[in-house]
Amino acid sequence: MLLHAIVQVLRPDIFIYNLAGVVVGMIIGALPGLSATMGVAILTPLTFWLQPAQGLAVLLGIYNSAIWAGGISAILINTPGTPASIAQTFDGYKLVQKGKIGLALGINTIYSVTGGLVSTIFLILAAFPIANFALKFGPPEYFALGIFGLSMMISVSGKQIVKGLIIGVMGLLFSTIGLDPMFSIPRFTFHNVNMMNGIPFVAAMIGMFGIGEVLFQITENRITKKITLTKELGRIFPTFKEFKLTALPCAISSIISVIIGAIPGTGGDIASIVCWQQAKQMSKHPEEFGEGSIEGLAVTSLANNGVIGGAMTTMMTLGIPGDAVTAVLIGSLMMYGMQPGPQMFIEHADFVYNIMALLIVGNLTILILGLLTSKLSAYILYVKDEVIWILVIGFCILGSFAINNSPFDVMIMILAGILGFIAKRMDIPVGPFILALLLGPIVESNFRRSLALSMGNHLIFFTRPISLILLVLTILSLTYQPVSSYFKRKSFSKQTQ
Amino acid sequence: MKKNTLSIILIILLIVSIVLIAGCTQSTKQTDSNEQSAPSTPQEQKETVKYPNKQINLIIQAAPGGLSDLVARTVGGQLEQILGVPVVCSNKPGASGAVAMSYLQASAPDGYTLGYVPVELSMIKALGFADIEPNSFDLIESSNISPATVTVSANAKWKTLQEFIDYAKNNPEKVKIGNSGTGSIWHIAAASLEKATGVKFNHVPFDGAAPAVAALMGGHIDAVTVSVMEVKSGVESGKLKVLGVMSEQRSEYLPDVPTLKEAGYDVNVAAWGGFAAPKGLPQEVKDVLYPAFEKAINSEKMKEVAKQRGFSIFYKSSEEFTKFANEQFDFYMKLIPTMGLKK
Amino acid sequence: MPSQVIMRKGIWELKADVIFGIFNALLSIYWITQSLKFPGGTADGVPGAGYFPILVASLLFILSIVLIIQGSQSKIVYFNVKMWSKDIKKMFLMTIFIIVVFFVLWYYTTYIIACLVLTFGLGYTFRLSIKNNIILSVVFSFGTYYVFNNLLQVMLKLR
Repeated sequence: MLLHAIVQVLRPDIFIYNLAGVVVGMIIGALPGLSATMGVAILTPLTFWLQPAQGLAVLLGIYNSAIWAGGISAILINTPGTPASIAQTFDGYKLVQKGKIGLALGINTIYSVTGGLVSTIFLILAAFPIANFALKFGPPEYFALGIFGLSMMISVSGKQIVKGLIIGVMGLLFSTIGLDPMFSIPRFTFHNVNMMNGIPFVAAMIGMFGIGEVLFQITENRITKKITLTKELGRIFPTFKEFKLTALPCAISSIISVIIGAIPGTGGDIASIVCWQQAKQMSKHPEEFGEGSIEGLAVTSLANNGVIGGAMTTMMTLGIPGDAVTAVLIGSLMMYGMQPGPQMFIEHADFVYNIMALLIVGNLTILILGLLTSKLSAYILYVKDEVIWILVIGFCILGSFAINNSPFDVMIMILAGILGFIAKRMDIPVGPFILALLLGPIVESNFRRSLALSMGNHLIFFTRPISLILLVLTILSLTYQPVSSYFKRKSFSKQTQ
Repeated sequence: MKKNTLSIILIILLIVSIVLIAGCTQSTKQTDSNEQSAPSTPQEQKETVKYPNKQINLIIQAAPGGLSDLVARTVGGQLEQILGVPVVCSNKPGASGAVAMSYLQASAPDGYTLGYVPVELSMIKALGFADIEPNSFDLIESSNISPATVTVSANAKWKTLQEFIDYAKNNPEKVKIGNSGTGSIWHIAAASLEKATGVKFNHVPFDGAAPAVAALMGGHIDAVTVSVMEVKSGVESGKLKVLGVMSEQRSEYLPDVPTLKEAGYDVNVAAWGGFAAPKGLPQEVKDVLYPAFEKAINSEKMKEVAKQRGFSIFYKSSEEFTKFANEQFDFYMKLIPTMGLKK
Repeated sequence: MPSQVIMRKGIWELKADVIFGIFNALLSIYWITQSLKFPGGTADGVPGAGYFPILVASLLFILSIVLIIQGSQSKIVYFNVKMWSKDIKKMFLMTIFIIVVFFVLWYYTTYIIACLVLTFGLGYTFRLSIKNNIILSVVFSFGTYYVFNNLLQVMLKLR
């Protein structure tokens, strides 16, 4: 059935539409601020004149490739192209600084495609079990997941634990700006309508990474920089040894990312953060994470594309969007006369298989295109730094404006850029701030929502299995590293004695 | 040292100017709203150029993917064909639509900046988000409506609305009822039901209707009071069942489900939407725009979209719509303060 | 590494860690005092609007104190502006200044004019050759205007 569907979509016209979608998605994804959601939303009306298979070829192409291409700008210019690629900046940019440009781009492409394909396989094999599992996530589980994600503030801070924590908590503080999630009470809004929805997360992210990085580079002593940065592309494919190293964390990450994708309201940003954290804990070289770890880049690349299959699962089986892009895609499906839900799997099984086949074909297109364009993408490093600065500033302004057509967002972006610059100069990691801004509202609203469900009983977080497991994992991940390093030190001192 | 002070001054300048620009946007809005009661300026009346001669901006108050976005883009697409100029739809989400509506209110009334206005138009003032009411705009026409439902899980023990209400009566504050945010229209739906039946629910706000429906499917809450459209796919897949619809007539999509009125409770809550322009639209623009909207809203394409997504076409002419929106405004101004929302 | 060991004294040589800590401490105090005014939770145990902000702000306050203590003992200077060359200082200030000018122009004129000034001004600051600079600013300004306004349907006007 699936094979039949694949053969069906392997028509030249569908291939061309798919390629067009992938190319558009690549551009939209690589530009900071322009997200997959926006790309799909804008092109949706244009695809109504096409056959359903052709239209979906374009839209799914954009979806997959925008997430993948977000990693390219994260790796090359340290500015995530989409929120989902935020965790890729941790290791990707460091790898480029080490001169492993080709490898970083290659890993992004190969593992993104792997993530996309594996999650599609999950969708094919276990759509209904995954969706039903995702529904088990109620407010207490979201809370526990948020706390688990927040625990990464510590591991991403490296040696600067106090500084990482302080900027992270500052992010949490700023995440309380806006309408209170339970009672809709305006908090710290200064009676400004723009402030009611809180600090716009994407604008703050673009500013911190984009503008912050440019200002930092301007004030950088550039004589030393010239020497360290080689511009050779180098090998693209990871060696077999590197591949083996990443196999286990990637297998686990793909399961995590499919589940996080399937949970309504959580997307690639959270998935890649959680997977990075998970991989660091399991790794034999946790010290490399954040300093250019191949494992770190591999799991994050895999995780943000792995979300797609999960999000599609929830969308197709239950008719509930798994993330922002699928919210738009639901509309397109309905335009083609499909009502997402179990009925669709029975009444329009061929259509469902078509979607799955398109996801597979789209990912293979990305694989080919990604590997072929590695060299082209890496040309961006040959461009004079000054030109890159101008382009980054320009696109940061445009990108942050384009999200909501809001000049307020641009101002937040610039202010976040200045904060990011100050933080970078002070050796403060900016990741925790963005992380907190993203997870703060999830943690707060679900904490209070859970208590509303339990009538104020705090035990609700511990009596539900998934929530309990997540909280225990959080505690383990917080204690594991200090404890293990303590024991290492102990055994080391014994040896020296 | 001098350079240092200079740099500090410049940074302060930057921050001050950013704040100033923000302030400017605010203050112009205020002055505009003061002046807007004045009729169109003589310049516009002298204008001999035929009205739609350049791109029209249609402001959508919500993010892509929702009902508002869908309706506005569909009508916008039709309008483009009718008027022969590009209609650019831009999303300006935030604060229940207050951001977009404030922007629209402050825009020039030349017919080139229009907006989609949802039921929140009549609620925002009562909620205290912004000083916006239906009379702040020239309402063009209304386009769509989707009534609230009382929806429970398919395997819930309640078979009829009466059983549900009786249970809620005997177990005050035990029934966990999800809505799309405190002060949202679906919260008001639940609160109106509470008021009409005299029961007490445990309201659980979610960040939008979709998460609330997901929580209901997962068994985390007992019921939701969101629109027909949002529970339609859940009902068709057999995961949810609708006990009642909060409208005068039965929904065309759920013909077997009784209205609350049939069950003896006078509760009518629905999310509606329409289109609006800044106050003071010149008559010659109205003459072109209103028939164009009428045609677009009643187009085949809209009917098709409505059928697919599960909302109803709700066409009202400018005067009827203005009257209706003001009635709703008065209703919510009275109702919302009694709901005990904390401000 | 951006950090440099202390050399001279001046306003920027003040310990940035301490300043950052004090800033955050003040911020958290402001947050707590404001949050105390929010209505409290409901009778059935749902925490009120001020609960989470107060919790977070208290945590921030404690961390700020730790940072202040830690920072006052360290000898690292992050903003050793005197070590930056004159060039760098000029570039940095000009960049910020041009962004401000861009905003003002965008508000009072059109996007294209503002963007031309932005890109050309930045190119001048970063010493691009005149030819490259003109090409870049024209291509960028008109290109982005076309793509964003026409294809992406972004409303590139502020008023």
